[in-house]
Formats: sequence, structure tokens, C-alpha cells
Amino acid sequence: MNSHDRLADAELLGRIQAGCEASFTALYRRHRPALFRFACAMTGGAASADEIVQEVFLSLLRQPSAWKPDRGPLDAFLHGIARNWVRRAAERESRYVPTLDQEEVEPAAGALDGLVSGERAGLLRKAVLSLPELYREALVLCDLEELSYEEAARRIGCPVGTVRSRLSRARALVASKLKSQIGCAS
Amino acid sequence: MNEQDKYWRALLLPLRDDIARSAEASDSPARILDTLQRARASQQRRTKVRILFSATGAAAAALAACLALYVAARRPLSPPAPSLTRFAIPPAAPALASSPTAPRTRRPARAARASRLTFYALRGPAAAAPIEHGQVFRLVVPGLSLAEAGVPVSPDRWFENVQADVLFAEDGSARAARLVPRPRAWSK
Repeated sequence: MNSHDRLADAELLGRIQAGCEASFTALYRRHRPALFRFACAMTGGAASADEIVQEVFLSLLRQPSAWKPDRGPLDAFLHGIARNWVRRAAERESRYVPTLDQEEVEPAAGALDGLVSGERAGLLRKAVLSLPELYREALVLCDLEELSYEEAARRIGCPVGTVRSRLSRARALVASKLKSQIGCAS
Repeated sequence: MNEQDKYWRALLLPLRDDIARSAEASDSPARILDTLQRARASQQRRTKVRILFSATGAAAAALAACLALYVAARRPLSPPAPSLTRFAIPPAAPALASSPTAPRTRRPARAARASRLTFYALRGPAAAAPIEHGQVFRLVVPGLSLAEAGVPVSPDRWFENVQADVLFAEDGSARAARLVPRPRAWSK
């Protein structure tokens, strides 16, 4: 850990504006994992997630003054940008229809517990990606990113009760998806 | 966190691990970081160029404003009459006609014409006072008056009105004059 890793986000951003390259690297390394996880869970692909992370940091570089420290932490701000880019990526992807080669083969295992880890992850990913965006976002933030309801509500920009209801609905949909997938496979 | 939250987090653990693995396995962080750093460097270059252009533009605008002010300050308030010439003469020139510092001319005809067009200092109480700037007016005056004031006028023109360029000082007094020769058509 170097000296830049101990600096607060606001200070790092100030140094970035002054031209400090190490500060930018430190800020990138600090926030990249969470942004990548969120983007990857929302889009279902590492390539799309990489692209979104890059766009998020490019947005920050272009307009660093857009973040106001008194309005919330930087990670929430970056998360907001990532949400917008996820939405754009979804709109872009919706124009394409997957070909037969791109469609994955259903796992042959009989039950979720009996699947190997990779297959379980694949099933879960498919179930999560099939959710509507609002429900998927709540599930990703609360169950994958393990944020509290309050923090998730802050990031999404809605009341805590809405997050709870969306999460409940998302879980029910995932459960039904998993049941149908496992049922089809068996 | 309630039991249901724990259950779902445990259920989604393989997906979370899978995402974390793909994040670690990807070599893109270094590539993206490189791209971002290049973008940042490019942005800084653009900013520098923008600042440079702004500074140059501001300097050019300031220079143009100074030039405009200078030109406006040197321009007279009212436009001069077409026949007037404005110039500066050295103070208290005793005899402008025979100035040793007058530039030599190549042709004798041109020299003769120049001597005819030379100003002569007028006699008077203010003749010796130095002046800095003067204005020349072309006037029609009696030839005799001009001759009495010190300008050589041919006797055959003493009793006719002649054209003369008269130099007035800034205090309004006439200091020098020259006889305007007749046009060639008149002399024939």
C-alpha cells in the first residue's frame, strides 16, 4: 500500500485534477472491483463490464467537478454513472437476437445442489439476467454486493421499502426460474 | 440481516465467486488503466492547448485594442481641409530658404522648383518664438503684403492677388509663408 491508497477520494480527485498520475491509478484500483462486479452481474459479461468500467472512469476524467463530496460518497456517484451505462448497454444489446451458437446448452444435472460450481454459477447468472432491470439491480446490490437496504436505496435513489419489495419480487422470480430450469433439465 | 438474506447470499455465492474470478482473471484492468491514462494525458494536452490559445487570443485582443486607442489618439478631432498640410518645423529657423541641411536633389530643375517652394520666415514680434506644430493654410493675399512680410515676390505681381501657403503656429500667429507659383497655363 503506497501513500496514495490512504488518501480520501476527494483528495485523490483533487490531485488527479492537478495532474497526478499515481492518484488516478490509486482511485481506479480502489473503485474498479465493485464497479466491475456490479456491471458484470448486471450485463452478464466481463467484456461489457470492462467497457462500462472504462466509460465510468472516462466520465469522471472528463468532468471531475461533477462529483460533489457533500452530496454523497464517490463510490455512489460512480455507481450512478455505471447504472446509466448498464442501461445503455442493455438498450444496445436488445437490438440483437442471439444466434443458436451463442445460446448456452442447459446443464444436465438434476438439482442445483448436485451441480458443480461453474454450472451453478451459470444457472444463477442466467436466472439473474432474466430478471427485469429494476429487480435485477436490487438483487445485485443487496445479495451479490451485500449492501444494506439503506445503502442500496441510496444508490438506486428510491425508498428503502421499494428496495425491499423489489428484492422480494426478484428473489421470487429467480426461485421460479431456477425451479423451471432444473425441472427442465431433469 | 435476516435469515432470508443469509440464505440468498449463500445461494448466490457461486455467482459472486464466478464474477470475482473473472474480474481477477481478466487482464483488462491494466489495459483499461493504460487507456484511461492516455485519455487523461490527452485531456491535459487539450487543456494546455486551450489555455495557450486563450492566452494568445487575449494578448492579440489587447494588442488590437491598444493599437486602436493609439490610432484614435493620433487622429485629429476634425478632418483637415483638403488644402492643408500639417507638419512640424524646427523652432526658430531663421531662414528656411537657405537651410544647409536641406536634402540635395539630383536634378537642377527640381532643385530650382524646390527653392521656389521654400517657406520664408515672416517678420513680426512672434517670429523668434519657437513652435512645435503648425498648420499651413493656402490663402489669397496681395502680392505686396507678402513682399513686405519678407517673402520674395516678383515686382510684376505686387499689385495682384497671389496664392500663398502661410504657416500658422499653434498660438495663431503667421510664422512663414511661400509664394505659390502660377500654373503653367497662366505664365504663358
